[in-house]
Parts: sequence; C-alpha cells; structure tokens
Amino acid sequence: MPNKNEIKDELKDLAPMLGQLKARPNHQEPPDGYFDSLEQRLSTKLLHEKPTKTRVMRLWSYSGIAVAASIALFFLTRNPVVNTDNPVIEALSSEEALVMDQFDVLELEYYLALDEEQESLDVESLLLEEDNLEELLNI
Amino acid sequence: MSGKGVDEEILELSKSRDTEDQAFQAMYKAYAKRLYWHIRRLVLNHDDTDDILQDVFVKAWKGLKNFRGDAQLYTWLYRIASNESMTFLSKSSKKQTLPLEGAMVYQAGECTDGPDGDLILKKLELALQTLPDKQRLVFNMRYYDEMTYQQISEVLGTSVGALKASYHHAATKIEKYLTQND
Repeated sequence: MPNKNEIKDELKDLAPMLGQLKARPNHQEPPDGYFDSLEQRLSTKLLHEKPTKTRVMRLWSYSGIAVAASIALFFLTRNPVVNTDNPVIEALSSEEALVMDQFDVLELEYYLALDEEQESLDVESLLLEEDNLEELLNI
Repeated sequence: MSGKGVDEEILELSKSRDTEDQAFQAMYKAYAKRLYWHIRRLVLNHDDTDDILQDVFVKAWKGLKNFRGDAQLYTWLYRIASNESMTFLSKSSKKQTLPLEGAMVYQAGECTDGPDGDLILKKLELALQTLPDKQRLVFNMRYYDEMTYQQISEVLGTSVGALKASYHHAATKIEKYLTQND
C-alpha cells in the first residue's frame, strides 16, 4: 500500500480541491447489518451449491442401478430352455445375463451402439460386394 | 491492503474440506468491505452492488481451489470484482445516475440534503459520472483504494505509464468540473 502522503502529494499540484475532499467521510453507507447478513446469505448459497452435484450423481447412480437391475431381471426370468427354432438365443441369454451383472446401463448403451455401428458397416460392405459382383457379371 | 500472511492462511485453509468454511470466512472478513466499496463506487446503487458482490464471492470461491498464487489474492479478487462491474455497466441499458431529486437539488444551488459537505461530495459523484467507465475504474483504484500504479497494473493488465496518464487526466477533468460548476 503506497504512502497516503504519496497520493496526497500527487494531488497537490494536479487537483488541489480533489486532494482536500479525499479526507471526507463517505455519506453513502450500506444498510445496517448488511455485511453480517451478506456473510450468512453467501454461506447458505455456497453450502447449497456443494451437495447439488452429489445429489444429482446419487440420483443418476440410483436410476442406473434400478434400470440395470430391471434389465438383468428381465433376462434372468426369460425361459432358459433350449429354443429348438434358434439355438443361438439360449446361448446368448445366459451370456447376456452375465453381462448385465457386470456392466451398468451407460456402458451397456455404449457397447450396444458399437454393435449397431458394426452391423451397419457389415451391411454396407455386403452391399458393396453385391455391387461389385453385378459389375463383374455385366462385363 | 491485506498482508501476505492472511492470503497464505486463506489458501492453506481452502485446501482441505474440513477447513474450507474457515477459508471462506477469512476471505470474507479480509476483503468483503473493500470489494463492496470498489464495486459501489462504480455502479453507484447498493442493490446492484449487492448482486455483483455476491457473484464475485461465488466465483472467487469456485476458483480458489485452482488459484495458483502467481498473483496476490487481493489482486485476483479485485480483478474479478472489476470485471464483473465493468460487465454490469456495459450491459446496463441506462447510464447509472444519481436520483433525480438529488441532481435537481444540486442544480438549484440549495442543499436540503444535509450540510455543505454532502453537496460537494455529490458534486464529486456527478463529476465522476462524466468519466468513461474504464477511466473511472482507474481513478477509483488510485484515489479511493489507494493502490499503487503497479498494483492497478496487475489488476487491469495495463501498463503503469498508461495508468498514470489516465489517472492524471481524470483528476484534472474532475478538478475542472468542481471548480467551474460552483
């Protein structure tokens, strides 16, 4: 903090009246008790900011667990008997049940999306092959 | 100005969840009043000052954990308060002025508001409102907050030379206003 005299001296030549006014008290005071009440209000505000994220995260994880549990329950209650029409289903259901136990909903959605992407790529490559075959036949 | 000791204490307390409330209280105690007046002298109105000051403390509190300490805490807080005030002033649709009654009383040459000291101070307030916002900011920091040009430079990111010129220009302008409008 500079010496007050330094600022006073600066104003002596530059703005003498301004220099004299410097010592005058400020007549605009805040309301009585303002700073005490502000501290309280700020503490409350900051306190409410803290648990919000935790609350949201908890809600998400509870929802996630509930959904994952529902999906797991759904697959576990499916008939585990071998389906003669499509024997692959029986193998998938037990694997899927294992997967449900291990992954949460978000991760599952991620892997399902990857599968869909792979599926569409496979279809695309099949179509390209068909096109190539047609071209070859036409030659 | 708050010493380095208080700043270090605040930063130390803010590192642990167990003591972060104490850190906030220490920061508030050390800087609330100074920041209040810094903002008030820019935006003039108490209610607006209250809103801005709350925003400043919330921002400061959130940013404190990442505060690297490469500037003084005081400088950093001042910077936040200055930026918030300048943003408010630029967004504000109407120019902040004194209440109409006060201005009319002044122009009538009478003082029904109190002793002559109040009148000259109101005249000073009117003079300050003739300054551009940034110039008024520099003036306030030197004249009222008694900061060195180096400290103001750290807050505003402006060179010391430019700040001196700005302050001198503002002071001369105000002096002219005070003496010519008697």
